[in-house]
Amino acid sequence: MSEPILQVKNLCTSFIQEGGRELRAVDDLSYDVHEKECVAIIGESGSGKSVSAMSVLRLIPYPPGIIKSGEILYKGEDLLKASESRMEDIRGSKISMIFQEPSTSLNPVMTIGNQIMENIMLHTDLSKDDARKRAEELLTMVDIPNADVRLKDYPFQFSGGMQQRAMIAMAMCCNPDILICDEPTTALDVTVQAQVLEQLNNLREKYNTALIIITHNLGIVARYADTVKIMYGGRIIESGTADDVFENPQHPYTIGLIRAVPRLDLPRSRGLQTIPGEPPDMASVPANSCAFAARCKYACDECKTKRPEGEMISDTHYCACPRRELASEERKEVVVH
Amino acid sequence: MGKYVVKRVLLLIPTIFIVCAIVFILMRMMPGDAVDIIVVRMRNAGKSVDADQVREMLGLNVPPVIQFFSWFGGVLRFDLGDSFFQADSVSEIIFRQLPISLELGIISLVLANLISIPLGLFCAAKQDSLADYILRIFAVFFMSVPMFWIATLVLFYPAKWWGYAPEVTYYSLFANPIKNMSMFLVPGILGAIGQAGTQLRITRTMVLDTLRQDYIRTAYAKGVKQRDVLFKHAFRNAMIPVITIVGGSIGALVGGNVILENVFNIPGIGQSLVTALGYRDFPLVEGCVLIMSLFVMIVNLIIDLCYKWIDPRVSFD
Repeated sequence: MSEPILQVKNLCTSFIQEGGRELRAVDDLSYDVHEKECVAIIGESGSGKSVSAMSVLRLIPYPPGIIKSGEILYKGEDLLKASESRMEDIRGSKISMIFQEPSTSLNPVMTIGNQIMENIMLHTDLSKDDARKRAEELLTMVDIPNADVRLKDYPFQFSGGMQQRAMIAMAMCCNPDILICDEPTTALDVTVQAQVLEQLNNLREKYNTALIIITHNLGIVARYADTVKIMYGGRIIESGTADDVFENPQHPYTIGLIRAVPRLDLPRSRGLQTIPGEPPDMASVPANSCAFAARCKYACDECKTKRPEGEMISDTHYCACPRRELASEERKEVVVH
Repeated sequence: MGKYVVKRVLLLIPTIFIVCAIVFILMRMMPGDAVDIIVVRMRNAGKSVDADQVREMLGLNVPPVIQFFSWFGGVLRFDLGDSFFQADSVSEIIFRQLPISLELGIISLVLANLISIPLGLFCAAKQDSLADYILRIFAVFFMSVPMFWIATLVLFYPAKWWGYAPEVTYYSLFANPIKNMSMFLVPGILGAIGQAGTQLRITRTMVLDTLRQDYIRTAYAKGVKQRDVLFKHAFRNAMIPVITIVGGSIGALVGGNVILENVFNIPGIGQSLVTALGYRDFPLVEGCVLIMSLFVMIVNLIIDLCYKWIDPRVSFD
């Protein structure tokens, strides 16, 4: 495989709470992203997936957030060491980002056109008129009809799906190498979700843009992702190709997640499956333990006192659970063949 | 939009009627009236009159309902009647004194906004810095100390130390701009700082609140510089609630700042209203209150129209 365009190495992002307590939102996270690759980062609320994505663009509000250590290499350049003005060049141009709630992520008192044009004019030398033409092209590209007229609309005049497509148009205006999508479809109707995802996938094909999709929707992942990272408690606990993770899940948490997806092929009496317990309060999980240990039925004492060593199960498949063999029964149950 | 303005203007008429009725009734409910004062004064001047004659002279001998409608009829013809004590008609008095109060108010308003909005933005941008704390302490200080106290100090100490006192004779702005300004500047600043304290805190809070919004994060993610995020993205959104506060203070302008007008001997409408109340000068009080409330209504209408200009989501339909 070619050189990765983005390498996240041992990233640690913390939030300092009142009274000085440190909350490790992202704890020693590493992953690579290659050109045109679609990477999915999966985890429940509070698992650190959004924080890890925002850390890549250094968008963590400080205080209270702080990137404590690690490297974020974009084409070999460490973004954590880059100047603020260098970051401003990269944001929205080389690495773009779209967010969960399109309705609140667009400025309510600026027209869609002005918001897209702002991004274009920040990163190119186009004149205002040319920027408007480019904005019109972009809106047409994301299938918004009458783009020339809709440019003058305000966000509240767009539907949720159109707002998210306008966000995509804005993010794609400089043909970025990487598009980070932080739960891009969570706030949208199911039918609109499919359109938006299809859109993202088409853009990836057309412009070779790598996608980092942060989600808790396993359906998205199974359909579009090349590689999947499962996050829990700020760490990647399992990763691999989509096939590795869905056909052969190893970590008890991954198995639990897949089990929790409602299945139409099983009797209704099975009910909705859940993972018992609650997501951990990150400030109280000891650094040298498995973050999932408190909820894991296979946990032993060692899980609570020693940070599990990750191991490569195959060339592509990684898992951080030494006791994963114990879950083999459950694994068979969840994998659909 | 046009339809909305017409509707709002037409609504002014019943509102004016209600204001007139309330102020008319309240005045009649007050104990004592101008008649007694006039009788005493005329007797002292050596004329023998009785109360009934005076009452007839002032038009107070007919039933109140008739008094009200004849007055309200005059209002609709822009005739506010005559003062009981002064030779001029109420309209003339208001026309003479309103601009004086307005000048003081406008100076205060402009200064208050020039001080508070930039400093509010600054405090928000430098949240929790030393400068932020110091400015906020000043803001709370000027909001809380009574104006008459600062006004008295400002009048007293410069006079004692440097022999300086503000002008106390009124000259119109056009007749003698320098003397006019030397009279209005100090009370203008004093009027501004109290207002500025409130507005600084509101601006700061609103800008901080806006800076936490998702679209600010989007702006940063686009590569917008911090300064542009503040001015282009946060400022306009933060101004929506600030406008309401500014609007409320514009309405208060026309009422004149009674305290400042008294301390600095400015012959504005606020001073006039207080005097008229003491003398139970019904037509003058009613006229002043009517003009003030009309002004507030018109300012509110303008502020409502401003919302549309700032926030495209506002719809008048």
